[in-house]
Amino acid sequence: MSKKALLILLALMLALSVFGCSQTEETTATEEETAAATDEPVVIEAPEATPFETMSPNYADKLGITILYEQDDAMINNYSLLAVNEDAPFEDLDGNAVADVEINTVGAKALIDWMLGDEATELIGNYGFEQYGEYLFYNKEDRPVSTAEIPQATDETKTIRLSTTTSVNDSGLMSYLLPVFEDEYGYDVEVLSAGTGKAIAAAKMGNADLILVHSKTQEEPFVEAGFSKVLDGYDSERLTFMYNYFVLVGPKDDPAQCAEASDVKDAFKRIADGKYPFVSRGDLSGTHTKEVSLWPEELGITTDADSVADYTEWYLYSNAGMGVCLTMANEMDAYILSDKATFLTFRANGGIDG
Amino acid sequence: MIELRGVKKYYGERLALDVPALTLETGGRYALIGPNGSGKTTLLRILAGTLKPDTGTIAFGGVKKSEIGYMPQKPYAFDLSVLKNVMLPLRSEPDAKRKALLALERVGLSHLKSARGSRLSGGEAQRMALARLIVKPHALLLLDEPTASADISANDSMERALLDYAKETGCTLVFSSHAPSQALRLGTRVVALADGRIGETGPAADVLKAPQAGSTKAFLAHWRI
Amino acid sequence: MGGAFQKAFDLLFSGDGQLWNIVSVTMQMTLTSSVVALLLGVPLGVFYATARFPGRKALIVLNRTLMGVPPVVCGLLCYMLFSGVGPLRQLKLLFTVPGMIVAQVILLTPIAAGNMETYLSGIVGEIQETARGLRLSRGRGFLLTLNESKYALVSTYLFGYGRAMAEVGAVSMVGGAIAYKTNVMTTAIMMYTNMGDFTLGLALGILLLCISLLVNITAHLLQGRRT
Repeated sequence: MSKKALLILLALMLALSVFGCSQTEETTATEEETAAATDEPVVIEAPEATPFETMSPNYADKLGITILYEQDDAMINNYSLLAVNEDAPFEDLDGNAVADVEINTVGAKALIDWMLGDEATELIGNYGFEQYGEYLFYNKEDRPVSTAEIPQATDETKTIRLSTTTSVNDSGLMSYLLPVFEDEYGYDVEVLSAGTGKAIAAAKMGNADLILVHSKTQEEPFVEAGFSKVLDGYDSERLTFMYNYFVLVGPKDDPAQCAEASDVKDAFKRIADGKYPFVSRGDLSGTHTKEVSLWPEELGITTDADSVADYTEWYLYSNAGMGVCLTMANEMDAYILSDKATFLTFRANGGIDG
Repeated sequence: MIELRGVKKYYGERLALDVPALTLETGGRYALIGPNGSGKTTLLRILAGTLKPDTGTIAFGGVKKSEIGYMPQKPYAFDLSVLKNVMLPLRSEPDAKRKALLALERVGLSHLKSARGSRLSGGEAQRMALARLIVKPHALLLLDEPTASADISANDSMERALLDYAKETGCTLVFSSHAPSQALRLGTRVVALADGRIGETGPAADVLKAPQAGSTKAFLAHWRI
Repeated sequence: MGGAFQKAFDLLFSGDGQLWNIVSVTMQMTLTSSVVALLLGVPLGVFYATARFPGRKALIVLNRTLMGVPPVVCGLLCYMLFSGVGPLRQLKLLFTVPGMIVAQVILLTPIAAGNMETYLSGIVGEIQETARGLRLSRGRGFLLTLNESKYALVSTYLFGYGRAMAEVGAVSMVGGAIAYKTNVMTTAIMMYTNMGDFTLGLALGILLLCISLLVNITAHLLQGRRT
């Protein structure tokens, strides 16, 4: 092989990297803006989002599981924004206090103000309809509202670190909303997604400027420990602004007859009585926490693995993300509690290609 | 004059070398002969300093460490040009290149001066290794089977180069040989080893043509001098 | 499975900005970390092979142990060090590509050094004996051995590069898999798999292998006609 051919090959590789750098978010942003601007809800077969994210046809028919029960008040999932307090009692690994932790409070407030403002509210309310024919998130009626002036980004405040859960990120809401905010005000939002526990822990370690989570039981200790603060114009640290529903998903033939249950707790009781296979997140996430609260009390099911030791023949404590658990449920013809957005995404993407 | 006293070396349990006394006269050319495992390499290594004896002393009689040159059984040919290989011991001497070319000529390797050291055949590598040593004067030159891989013509050039070098520099030469005829051609005295011990020593012609010790006789029986 | 190949093909030519960013970040990270690890690891490996000092064997055993560090452990360590409350927070390496490179270099350097040491252990005995016989200094011996290690350089590099490409535990922890910033192919595959989109995950995996193939071919050509 001549040196010339060698150089060409190397140049090819270099071009690959350089070319990649030149492509920016502009492609995705423009597409999403068009989607957001449309007024009439249109049910579309092929999703409009970026080619990268949705290239598979709708596999709804191929899935063995479907939504059986939803819209019960007990299945509401509330999302809250919490700004990280720059004067929080941060500790290093040895427990010593750390004083100079850098938190972008200006940026966090800007994002929170925007998320609670009119523009974001409308976008949130519309999200999902074009892609799935359903609304994925709802704005809470008693949510805090902001009319504050949002400052443009400066070099110092440009980068905002938002720590959120995988459920939120997987629903696609963030990549739908944030580019609008970023383009208008010049910020650069870095979205870190992890399980609820880790998302909150990241903030405690000074790695986030604000968090977006949906687990009151874990949010309250966070606030009590002093890691959040009340921003100007609001009453509380926890800014609960939107909600969606969990859905009970299960096999299409519904052996436990959950679809006929009187309420969600009754549905869960039917599953437990009949010992039908059930997949639990098992990872102390918001979904997991909600799920354990819906079982009949006498079963004594908690987020602790030991509490379900007697039920292993039908209750699967899996410790995995939502998508993986849904796949398991699909494979096993099992019931599962899921957030609606992830399920719809899962259904649209079809899991394993047959 | 180099003197060894009570030198012993063990490899685990086995006594590889046991030399109660051995004297090497300055300017002498000593050929070590004996079967495999008789201690030739061990003795050379100890003299070279790459191996420490378990007991005994060696008096080097004024010979400095830097004046000792040693060629192991499998000399390593570095991945440089042959010329650069030969120039290695000369560091940054002004005359290095000329001296190296001269050495190469002596061993008959001039035509390969730009060849890659790693590409040489066994015989060529050994000739290069010899050139690498004779490029500098030494007070003590130790060679472990220096022509083992050489073909007949290479063997001749190497022996000639070595002999000329020894006579010119007056160095003490100690070399092991697998061929007693070579010992006769190159050496003034012979040290016959067997099982790590010296069977006998003496003038080359005497030992080789009329060996006294049983072990020497047995070894030489396979050869026609 | 055919669907995954089809998808990979479509992805490649879709010109999608996000995909190209992922590929670009992956290339930047893997090429940098593997080269740095080589630059650090090769002299270290030569040192292990040639130096003679008490405790040398222990050092080699330590290096071998470090070769087996689970990437996620390394990632966790780096995460804690670079965190907002961590001792190295001033370096501002968390959630950045340089931070991911650092984590990978920590993982790959012992591997490069160990690879080199193993390769050289076969020949270092001969080299040293010859060098001693020629009265070459220790430094000279080190440089000569370094020169001899050239032939193992490419294979050592490729070994490290392969590990860099395949690694997900450390880079996901230190990098955070932030879209358009620190998302690399492996973290993207994990993300889409977790979302249930296995086909896309597989397609990305195929793409990753193709890129690896390209790099391996290039390296093979660089080795030249040497036998």
